[in-house]
This record gives sequence, structure tokens and C-alpha cells, in this order.
Amino acid sequence: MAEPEGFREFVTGRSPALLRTAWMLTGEQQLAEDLLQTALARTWPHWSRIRDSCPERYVRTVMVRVHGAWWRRKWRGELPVERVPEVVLADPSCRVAERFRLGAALRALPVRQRQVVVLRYYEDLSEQETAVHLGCSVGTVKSQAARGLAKLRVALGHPTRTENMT
Amino acid sequence: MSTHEHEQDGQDAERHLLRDLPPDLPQPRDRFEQICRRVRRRQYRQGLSAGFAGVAAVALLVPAVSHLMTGDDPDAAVAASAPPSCPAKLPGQVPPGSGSVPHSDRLVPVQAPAAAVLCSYKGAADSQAETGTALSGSRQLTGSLEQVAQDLAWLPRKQSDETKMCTMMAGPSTSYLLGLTYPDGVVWVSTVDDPNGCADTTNGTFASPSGTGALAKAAFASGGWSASPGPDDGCDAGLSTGRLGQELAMVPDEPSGLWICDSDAPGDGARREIKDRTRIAQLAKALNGLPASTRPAQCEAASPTREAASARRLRFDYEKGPDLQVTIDPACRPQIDNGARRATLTEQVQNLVEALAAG
Repeated sequence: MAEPEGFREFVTGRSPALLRTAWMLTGEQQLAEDLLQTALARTWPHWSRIRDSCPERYVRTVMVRVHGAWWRRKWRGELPVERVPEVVLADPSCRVAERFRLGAALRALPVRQRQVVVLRYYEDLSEQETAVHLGCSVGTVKSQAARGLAKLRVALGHPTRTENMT
Repeated sequence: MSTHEHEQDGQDAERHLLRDLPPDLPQPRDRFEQICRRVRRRQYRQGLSAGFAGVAAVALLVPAVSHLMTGDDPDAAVAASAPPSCPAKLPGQVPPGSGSVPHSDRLVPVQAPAAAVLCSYKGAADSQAETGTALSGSRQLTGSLEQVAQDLAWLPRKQSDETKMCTMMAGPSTSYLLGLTYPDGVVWVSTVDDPNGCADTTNGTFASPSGTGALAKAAFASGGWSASPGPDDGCDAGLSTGRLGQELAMVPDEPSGLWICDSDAPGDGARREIKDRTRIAQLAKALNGLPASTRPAQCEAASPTREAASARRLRFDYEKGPDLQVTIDPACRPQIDNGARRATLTEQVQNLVEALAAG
């Protein structure tokens, strides 16, 4: 099992960013590390062909699909809810409290909405790119992004806006 | 910052917050090595799958395998290894394993599993989880799984006539199902974390009287099966869960080392390490030659009138697997106990132990 040239450097250099994305998808540190390692292990055999194109995009796609596969295969003790429960905190105006609420709200999103929100608003991908990553239509990305963002805004107490769905 | 036109209408607040959301995540130094191990396991599994396929199946599989090896579709990679899924409710019996993993001779194979999922079923307050209790959580264990094999593969077998003395403390109890994936299939192991530590550990075929609920609880909390707290020196009992074979022989297998510990006298003078394998084997043979039973020993509390004779603990070490503890307590009848078998102390054994302890 020869080590592909440049793969170790890629793992070392890009893992911190990819791990953050994995954390956004899973919401758990251990699960995020596991997701990242799984994706990188599955990228290994294809490294020679993808290394000159966009390996990070490939790893991110594998992460999203592995995450979806995990989700389909087993229940993780979380249930998506239509409305995010309000979190009562001592000082709701502080930024820490806001992040806390956002994290809880993100974890409460249905898995596909969470994936869309992470790719669209955290990874800053376009709707088209997000659709390619998720293997769905641009229309689905638009609707899921709008719904996901609306739920996050409700959780944060931000005024809700009508998203441009066209 | 985004340059997408349609995003400019007030998404900045959420975007900024999302960017700040991930905490400072630790970067494990051995990440690349762990990835290497995963790749090796995947290749091993793929090799086994290919080997077991029949000639007819090969004709059908060639296009798929070829696609897996040459295509760049991440979907192909996703399908290969998935941890088993947790039952939604606690089943009445341990879920049957799949494939051809042997599970009647040992609780689990000696080799490390390729993947492990831990399913938790919390009982109601102060009661044990019952059949039908809903799944309360699950975790795929990460990191090295070598310790799973180390802790579980060597657990002793429960004898049909074995009785355990259990306390009756009330308190919360959680049942766990541990699903272990091997190249040959899947094995499920059931254990319970309860205040009395009295529940067996079983895979449905092989049951062990050793409780492993605390290990499962710790693994569920941390997300990995770390090394169980072992002895910090030869005479610290640690959390010994016994050794497979102790139910059949007072000292099973061939021990590679021995510690003789004086239970009543802590300090450096209370322990002695024996490395002479010939003398260790001689003691093991003498212990194994004693008539033994599985009946619990009867022990009396220490009293001023009792003959002053301290209890000794013998810790036999092995090159593979956990140590074995044998106690010799003059206050008990019979005096010798390895956790599963008991025997009456003879002069020959006592002399051997005293000679070894004296150096």
C-alpha cells in the first residue's frame, strides 16, 4: 500500500478546515474526526486522478455523502423539528449565547437542510456547486436553503425575510 | 465574504455567526496513521470479498469492481463499510451476528474490529432498561479499536452452575449493545452499567460473568474505547475482569510473569516480582493439581483471636491477554480463589509461594 505522492501534505494542510466542515455537519467533535478520516481514507485510492483538479471539493463531497449514508443507516438520537425550540440563556444579547443558539438550531435542522446550509452559507458555495455536491437540483438547494436559514433566524430572534426562491 | 448576487440581501449576520461556530478542534497527531489503517482495512475487506466470490459472480462483479477502482464517483466509496445500525428498541435477546465470525469460543475475536457502534438504552429512574426500551443514543467509536479486543476477547466464560453474589443497590442503569464489524461479519455484545455491576456480558452464545458496563459507559462518554485503567504496578489489582480459561483451570495457559503481593502489608516490602518461568510453571502446575470447585468461598472477618496470617494475591502475567489474579486468604474456606474456581490450600502450595516470596 504505497502512500500517494502529496497526499500526506494535503491531509496535513487541509484537515483543519475540513474538520470544521465535518463538525458543522455532525455537531460532535469525535464524529467529525471520524467523518473526516473516513472521507480521506476513501479519497486515497483516487488521489492520483484528483490531486490536480480539486481534491478538497472531492473530499467535501465524500464527507457529505458519507454523512448522509450514516444518517440513513442509523438514528443518532436526534429528531428534526419544524420549529427550533427556544433556548433560554442568562444573557441572550451576548455573542456567545447567540453562537450557542445557532449551534443548537443547526443541529436541529433536518439533515439535508443542514447540509445545504453548511455548504451554502459556511463553505460559501454557489447554488449550482451545492447542488452538484449533494446530487440534487438547484431548485432543491434554493428551497432547502431558504427553509434552513429561516429556522436559524427564528432561533436567533432575527427578523425573518422572504428569500428569493427564483 | 460572498460574491453571489442573490445573497446580498441581509444574510451576513447568519453567515458571520456560522463562520464563527466551529470551536477550536484538536488535531490528532496520528491522523494520517489512522487513515492508513482505515485504507488497509478497506483493502483487506475488498480482497476478502473478491476471494469469496464465485466464478459466476465474478462475471457479474467485474463491472462494479472496475467502476469502484477506476471511477471517481464518491458514491461508490460510501457503500463499502458502514457500521451496523442500532436496534430502535432494546431487544429481548442479543441481536444475532452476521457472517461467519466465531462467537461461541470467545465473546469476541482476538483481532481488533474494523468498526464499532455503541447503542445506549437508558432504564427508567432506578431501574434496569427492559426489553422494548427505546434507543437513547448511539455512537460510532473512533480511534484505535485494539483495546476492545484486549478487554473483551479474553473475558472468562460463565459456567452453568456458577452463582454470583450481587448487591441490591438501587440506582440508574443503562443497557448497552456493542456492534462490532469484522472482515467476516458482525458480532453484537450486550452489557449493562448498573450500580451493582452484576450483569453478565454476552454475545448471545458466549456469556461472561465479568461486568463490562463501566467500560461501555466510559466509551460512550468519550466516543472511543480507551485503555481500561490497569494496575499501576504489579500489586495494584486495577480493574481485573478475569481471563478466559480461569473457569477451567486455576492458572490457565502459560504465564510469563508473576507478582506475589501481600494484601495486608502495603509498601515496597509487600511485593515481589518473579521472572523465572520454570518456577512460575511449577507453582501453576501445583495450583492446577488441586481439587477445585465453583462453589463460593466462606470467609470470616478478621479477629484478634484469629491466627495472624496475611492474605496473598498472586498476579500471573501473560504475553497475550490480561493477567489473572489468584488470592490465598487464610480467613476463607477454601482459601484459594481465582474468581471462578476455589481450592483448599495445601502445604505444598504454601511452601512454594513462601519460597518464591522470600526470593
